[in-house]
Amino acid sequence: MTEFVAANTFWGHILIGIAWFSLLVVLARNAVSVVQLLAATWAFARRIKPAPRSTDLWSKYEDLAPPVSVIAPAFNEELSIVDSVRALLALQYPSHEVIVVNDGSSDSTLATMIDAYQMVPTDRQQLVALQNTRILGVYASATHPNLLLVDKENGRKADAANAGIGFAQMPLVCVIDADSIIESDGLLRSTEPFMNDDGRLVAVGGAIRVVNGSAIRGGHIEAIGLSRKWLPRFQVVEYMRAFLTARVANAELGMLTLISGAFGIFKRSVVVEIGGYRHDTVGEDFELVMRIHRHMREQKRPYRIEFVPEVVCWTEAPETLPGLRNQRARWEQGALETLAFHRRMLCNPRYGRIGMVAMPLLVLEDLLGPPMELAGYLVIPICFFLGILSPELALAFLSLSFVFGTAISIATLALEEKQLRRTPNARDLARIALAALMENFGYRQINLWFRLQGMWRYLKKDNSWAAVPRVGFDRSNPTDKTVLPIAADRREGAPVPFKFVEEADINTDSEDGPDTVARSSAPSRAETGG
Amino acid sequence: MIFHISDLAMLVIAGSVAFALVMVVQMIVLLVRRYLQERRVIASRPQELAVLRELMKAVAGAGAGDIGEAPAFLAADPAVRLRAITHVLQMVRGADREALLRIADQTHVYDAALKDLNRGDRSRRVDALRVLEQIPSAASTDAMLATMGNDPSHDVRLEAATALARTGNLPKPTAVARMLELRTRPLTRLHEALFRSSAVKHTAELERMAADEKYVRIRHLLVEALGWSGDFGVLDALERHSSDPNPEVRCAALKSARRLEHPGAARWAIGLLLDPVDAVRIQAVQTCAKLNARDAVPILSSLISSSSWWVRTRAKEALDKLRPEQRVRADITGLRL
Repeated sequence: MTEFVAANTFWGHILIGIAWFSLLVVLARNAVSVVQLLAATWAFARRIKPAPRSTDLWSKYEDLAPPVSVIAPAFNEELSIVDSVRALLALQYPSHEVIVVNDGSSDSTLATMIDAYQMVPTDRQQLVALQNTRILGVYASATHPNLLLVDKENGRKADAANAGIGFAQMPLVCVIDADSIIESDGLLRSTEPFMNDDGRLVAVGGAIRVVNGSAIRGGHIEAIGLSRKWLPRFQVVEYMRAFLTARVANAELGMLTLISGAFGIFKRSVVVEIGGYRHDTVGEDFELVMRIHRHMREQKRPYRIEFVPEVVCWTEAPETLPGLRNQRARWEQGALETLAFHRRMLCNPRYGRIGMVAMPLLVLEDLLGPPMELAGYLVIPICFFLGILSPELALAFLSLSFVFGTAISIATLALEEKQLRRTPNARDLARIALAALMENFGYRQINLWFRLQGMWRYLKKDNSWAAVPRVGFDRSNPTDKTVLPIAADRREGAPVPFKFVEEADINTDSEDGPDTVARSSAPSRAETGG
Repeated sequence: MIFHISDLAMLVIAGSVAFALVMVVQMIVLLVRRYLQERRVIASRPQELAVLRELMKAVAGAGAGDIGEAPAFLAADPAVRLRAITHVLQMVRGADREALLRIADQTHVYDAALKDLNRGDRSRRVDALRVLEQIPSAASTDAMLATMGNDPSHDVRLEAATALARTGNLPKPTAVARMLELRTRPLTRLHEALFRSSAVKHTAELERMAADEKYVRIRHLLVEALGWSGDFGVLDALERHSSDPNPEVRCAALKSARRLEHPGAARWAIGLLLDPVDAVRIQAVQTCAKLNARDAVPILSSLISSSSWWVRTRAKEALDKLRPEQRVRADITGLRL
C-alpha cells in the first residue's frame, strides 16, 4: 500500500495535491476570519453607540421616523400567531403597520387571526403583484387599524413575503420570519441609520441571536437565558461569529451580501423595482441582497447597505441534528444557487468590491471551504501515516482547523462582551466560552458534512423540502393571480400594469405615501432576476 | 535566508497556539471582570439607595440645592452620584429640578464628561455629550454649544445639536445651518428634526431664512418647520412658497399647511391638485382632505384616473373622507393585478 501511494506515484501526487489544497483553503479562510475580526474590532471602536437621541427625538417628532410595513409570512402558525402578532403590534415605533400573510396554511391560522383581531374583509388594494400565487382575501382589523391580514395560496416564504410587499404602503418594509421574536425597540434601532441617511441607504440588517433557553411570554422575551443543550449553545457562538464579526466587517467594508431572512429592513421601492424575492431559490434572502447590489451597480446608482450590530431579533435554533442538517443544507444550497445566478459578477470589475472581493470570498467560503476542509481531515492524516507528508504540515492543518478556529470564536465572544454585553450573566458567559472552546471539535466538522449535503442537493436540484406548489397558471397572466376584480386599466391590451412611478419620480418618505421629490433620474426595471 | 515548508508550518502552529492562548487569557480576564462587576452591583445597592434618599432630601429640604450633610452621597463613587442625579432629574420639575442642577454643579459630577469632550476619541466625545445632555445646567449647555460649533467631527457636532435640541437649548436656525454646514452637507431627517424643534422659538427667523436665496438648498426644511410653529401668521409665507419652482418646497408648504390645519390654506392647496409633479399632487390631496376642502371634490374626482397609483389611492381616500356618503369603489382606482 505504501509503495502504491509513494510520493512520486500518480496517487501520491493526487493525495499530496489534495492535502496542500486543503491546507491552503483552510489557511485562506482563517486569514479572512482574522481580517473580518480586525475590521469588526475597528468598526466597533470607531462607531458611535446608539443612544436615546433618536428615540427622544422620535417620540417628540414621531412622524420623522420612516414608517415601516412589517411583513410576517405565516404558515401553519395557529398556536403562536396571535402572540407573535400582538408582539409585532406592540413594537416601540412611531408608525408601523403589520401585514400578516397567511401562506395557504392547512391549519386554522386564518380563522385564529380573524377571531383574535376581529378581522373583516377589506378592499385594500395591492400596489404591485410580485407573488406567483393567488390572493384569496384581504382582511383589516376592527381593533387594530395598523394590522392587515392577507390570505393567499401556499407558495413558500419568498412568495408570501412578495405578496406582503405588494400590499405595503410604507416606504420601508421589514421582512421577518413568523417565528422571529423582535426586540421591543428592534425596529427603532434598525431604522436609526435611515434617520442619518442622505437617500442612498437601501437596506439594513440587524444582529440576530439564538432564543433557545430564554423565557418567552406573549411573543416577548421575559428573561434571556441559555439553553441547557449543547447544540443551541454552539449555535450561539456561531451566530455571534456571523453577526458580530463577519457582517459587521462586511458592512464596514461595503461588502455586506446577506441580510438574514429572519429580520431585514429594505426600502420598499428598491425591492419592488427588482421584482421582490426570487421564487426559485431556497436562499431567497441572500439572493435578494445580491440582486440589490447587482441592480444598483448596473444602474450606476449610489447606494449603501448597512448593518446594526445591536440585537434586534431572536430566532429559535434547531436543537436536533436532523433539524440542523436541514437548515445548514438549505443555507448551503441557497448560497450556491445565488452564486450561480450571479456568476457574471464574479471577478467582474463592473461590480466593484462586490464582484472583485465579496464574490470570490463567497466562492472560498461556500464552494471550496466545506469539501476541502473535510477532505483535509481525511487525506492529511492518511498522507502523514503513509509518510508522504511531513508531520509539521499535518499539525499545521490541525492547528489551523482546531486551535485557530477556537481562537477566532473566543475572540468574537470577547468582542461581544466588550461591546454589547447581551449575555445575561458571568455564568452564562462562561458556558458560552466553553461552547466556543468545544465547537471546533466535532460540531464544526458535522456542519461541514451537512453543507456537503446541501451541495449535493444543489447538484440534484433537490427542492423537495421547500417545494413551491404550482397551480397551473402562468405568472405572465395576471388574471390567474387573484380572485378579486381586475381593474379596467389592467385588463388585456391595457398599458403596463405598474410603472414604478414612485421610484421614478418620488421617494416615499411618509406613511401618507410619497412626499418628497427624488433627485435622481428614473431607473428602469432592468433586472428582476426572475 | 531560505525558509523551508516545515519552518512555515511551525510558524503557523506557533501562531495558532499563541493566538488561542492570548484569546483564552483575554476571555478569562473578561469573565472575572464580569463576575466582579456583578458582585459589586449587588453590594452597592444599599449605598445607591442611601445616595438617592439623601439626594431627594437635599432637593426637597429647606435649603434646597445644598447637599451639605450627606455622608453617603459625598462618599460615593462619582459614577454612582451621576447615576443618582440623572435618575432623580427625570422625576422632578421646576424648583426641584433647579435645585438638583445646582447640586450637580456643586459636586462636579459631570467634570469627567467635560474633560472627555476634548479628547481624541469621537465615540468617547459622543458618550460625554450624552452624559451632559442628561444634566442640562448652564455649564454643560455651554460645553455642548462649544462642541456643536467647534468639534472637528461633523457627527459629533450633529450629536451635540440633537442633545441641545432635546434640552431646548438649540441656537438660532442660522447658527444651526452654519455650524452643521447645511449649505453643503447631505441633508437628513435629523436636520429636519432640528429645525422643527426651533419652530416655536424662532418662527420669524425661519420665515426670513426661507425667503433668503442664501438658504435655497434647505428651503424645504425651513418651510416644513414653519408648520410646527403653531403660528397662523406664517400662512402667507406658506402660500408664497407654494409656488416655489422646487417641488420639494411646494410639498413642504402643503405639509405645513396640513399641520397648521387652517382652512384659509385650502384655496391654494386646491390649486396644487393640478401640479405637474405627482409628489406635490399627493400632498395637495392629503392637505385638502385634512382641511376638509369640499371645493376640491371635482378635481379629486378627476384624479381617480391619474396615472399614479399613489395619486389615485390618496384621491380615493380623500373623497371617501370628504363625501363619506358616496364612497369610491376600490377597484376603480385600478390597483390590483
